[in-house]
Amino acid sequence: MAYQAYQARQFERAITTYQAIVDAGLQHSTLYYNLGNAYFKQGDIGRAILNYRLAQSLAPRDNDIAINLAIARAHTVDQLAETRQGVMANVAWLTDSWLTMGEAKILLLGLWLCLTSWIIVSILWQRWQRFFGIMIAVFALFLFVGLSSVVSRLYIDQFYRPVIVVAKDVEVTSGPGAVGRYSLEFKLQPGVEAHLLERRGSWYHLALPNNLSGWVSAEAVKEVRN
Amino acid sequence: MSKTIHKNIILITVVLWGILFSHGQSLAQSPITATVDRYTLSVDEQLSLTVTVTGDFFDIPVPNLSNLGDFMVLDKQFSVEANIVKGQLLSQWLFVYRLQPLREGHLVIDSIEVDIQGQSFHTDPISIEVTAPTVLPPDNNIPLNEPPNLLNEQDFFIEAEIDNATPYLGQQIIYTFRLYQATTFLGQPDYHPPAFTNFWSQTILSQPHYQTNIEGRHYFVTEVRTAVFPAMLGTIIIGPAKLIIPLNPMNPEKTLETEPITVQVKSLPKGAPASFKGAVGQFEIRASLSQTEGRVNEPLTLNIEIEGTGNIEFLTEPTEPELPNWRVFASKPSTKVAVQEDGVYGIRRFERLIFPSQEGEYKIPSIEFSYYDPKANEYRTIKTNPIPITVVPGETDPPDTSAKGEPIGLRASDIRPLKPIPNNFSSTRSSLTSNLLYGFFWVLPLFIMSGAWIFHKRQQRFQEDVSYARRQRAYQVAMKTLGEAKKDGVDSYALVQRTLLGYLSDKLNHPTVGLTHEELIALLRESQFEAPFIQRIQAILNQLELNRFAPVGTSAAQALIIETKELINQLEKQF
Repeated sequence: MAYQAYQARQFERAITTYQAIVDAGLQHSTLYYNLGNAYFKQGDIGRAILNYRLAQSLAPRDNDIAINLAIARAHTVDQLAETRQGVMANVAWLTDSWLTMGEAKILLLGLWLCLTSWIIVSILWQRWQRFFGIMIAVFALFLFVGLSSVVSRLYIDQFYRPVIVVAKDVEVTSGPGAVGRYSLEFKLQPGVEAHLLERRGSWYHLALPNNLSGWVSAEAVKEVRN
Repeated sequence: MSKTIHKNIILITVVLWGILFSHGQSLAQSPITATVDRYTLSVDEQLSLTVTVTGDFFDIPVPNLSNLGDFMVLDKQFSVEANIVKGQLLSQWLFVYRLQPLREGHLVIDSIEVDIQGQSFHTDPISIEVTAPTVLPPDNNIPLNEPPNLLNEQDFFIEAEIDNATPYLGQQIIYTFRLYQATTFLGQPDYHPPAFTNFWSQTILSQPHYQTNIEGRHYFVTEVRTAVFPAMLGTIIIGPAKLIIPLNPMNPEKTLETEPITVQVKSLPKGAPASFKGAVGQFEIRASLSQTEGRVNEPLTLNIEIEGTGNIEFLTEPTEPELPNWRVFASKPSTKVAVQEDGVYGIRRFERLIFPSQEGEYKIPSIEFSYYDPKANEYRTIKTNPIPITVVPGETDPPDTSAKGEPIGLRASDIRPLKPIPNNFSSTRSSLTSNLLYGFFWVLPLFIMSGAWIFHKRQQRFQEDVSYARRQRAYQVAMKTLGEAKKDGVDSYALVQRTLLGYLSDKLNHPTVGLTHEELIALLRESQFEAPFIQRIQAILNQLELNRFAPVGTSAAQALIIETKELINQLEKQF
């Protein structure tokens, strides 16, 4: 039904239908991808990017999602390029760019089983200790890198969660309150991707690209969270 | 700024009033207030601005005075008072600033911002009326520093002087300290510069060494040259510099002090341009853009650099150019200071992120900056050249969202199409880590590794320690041999006897071959076996020996085998 509505260019109806499925607790990358397409066609770039990001978190290797996300980003008014800053963000990217969290955890378990198997064999079989040592070192290194990446992703998700600006002319203030009580720093347009630093009441403190930061109303942004 | 504040701390009072159960101060109101001690003053006078910050926090909340406009900060002090109100710590911070107006007229101290635990708070602006200056007393009678008071044949002495005793407010002066020495010291002299109260930053420029001849005596001279900037009008006394000189073991050290130096600071002349914000020295300004061609809604960086000699660290940003159709984000200043022979030299850089919102040919207008040049005795205004910039459309046109709900339509046809939704997809947010099986597979290898390690160690010990191997295997071997003793056609008594002796031999790690029963009993006693066991072993061995040579039938042999088995089982618990 949503598909037919979309084809008939009834994007509002398509969005309502897809959103109802999501709200019912059903999850699939295609669902978010189609919802992103409907929002994009409707001209809601912020929510389009939000849903493409949600789809990408479930299917990071999907080329269609990556292409549509890039197109949606190119349509944003504020071309604030999100850059990975800090060691933790770079380490998280090692798995984030091609594995879902579930896949990364399975990969970690596989590496752990391989590592422990080599350790067990080296304990029981006293020959070829040098070869076993190399294999143990290799798997230990992979496991360390993978573990660091997963821990970094969990940390970022908890304390530096990505958010997308979904409202127009969002006023960024110097404190957790409206303009008047705090000074207006600048305004943001839909589609800007930021990170959530702190919540205070109905105000979010955001870290933005280009070392910018400020407070926005919680209603103006959506968290990238399945 | 906080560094300077710390240097200028003259009062820190911490008063704990105890626990008050009533009359608590309301925290609902703004925690920051600003007051002045006067609203009317002449341009050569100063006023006192007090910023009070109240709250239940521990970090020092430094007020941001970057938007003082036509005022300069001459001096800063702060104090803190801490109370406990209804069991909650309540601090009150008092920041007292001495401000110097830079021009006559109706001036405004803009809103002052304080960042407290991530929140920004602002004071209300304060209007000040600044009138014409009062007449300054002539400064011709200011005594210059006397040359060093040379004592007869003095081995060492110190002096201090400044290069300009009547500087303008904010003008760099160089304070020179000299040590003259005709003898060598036991160790390195310890130099304590004066506090330089009421001066901005102090930077040591150089420490030259040279030789000179005074009253026929040859001296080795060490200089310390320091650049400072007067931060208040009127008379400032530079206190004495100290030098502690190590002499000899009997008279370990001697402290020398220079004479205090008086500095008479003049206000800057009238006629400051509108863009003057307190810069004194010689400066150049330049501006550049990060790119010569921009795209709509893509950021460009406008760099403004002021370079030169003077109070570079305290320069405020030049008035930003008017840029209609551009979105401008806040700037972050940075300073790079270097030291030259004649003073402090540096670059103050302001970077602004700017976004063009429409395509076309633009010019970033000239940016104006004024400073007072004390060498030329005049105000100078310098400008950057306008910067041409071409703005082209972005990589893709923005969606036409002028009409609410209007679809993007054909222009967005380049996105990939919808996909069919699969029939089966997850209906719950199942977390892999909450799955017990996942956790089990992480823990399982730890147990297997532990088991493998224990097995390996045991095998290793079996190979390395024969007696241990015999002890560990004794029971198993004994049970196996006793099993064979039950079979027909074997000498059961001999086999049982050999089994029992072999078992004891393995367990005691002592050969039992050739031992008499008495020797065996003695060995068991040495091994602190309990008497009933020894008696049972002795009895069984006697019975076996007797039956070997006087056979009594199969049932007796079976009974002895069972009894020996029970004995070994009980002995196994003993070992």
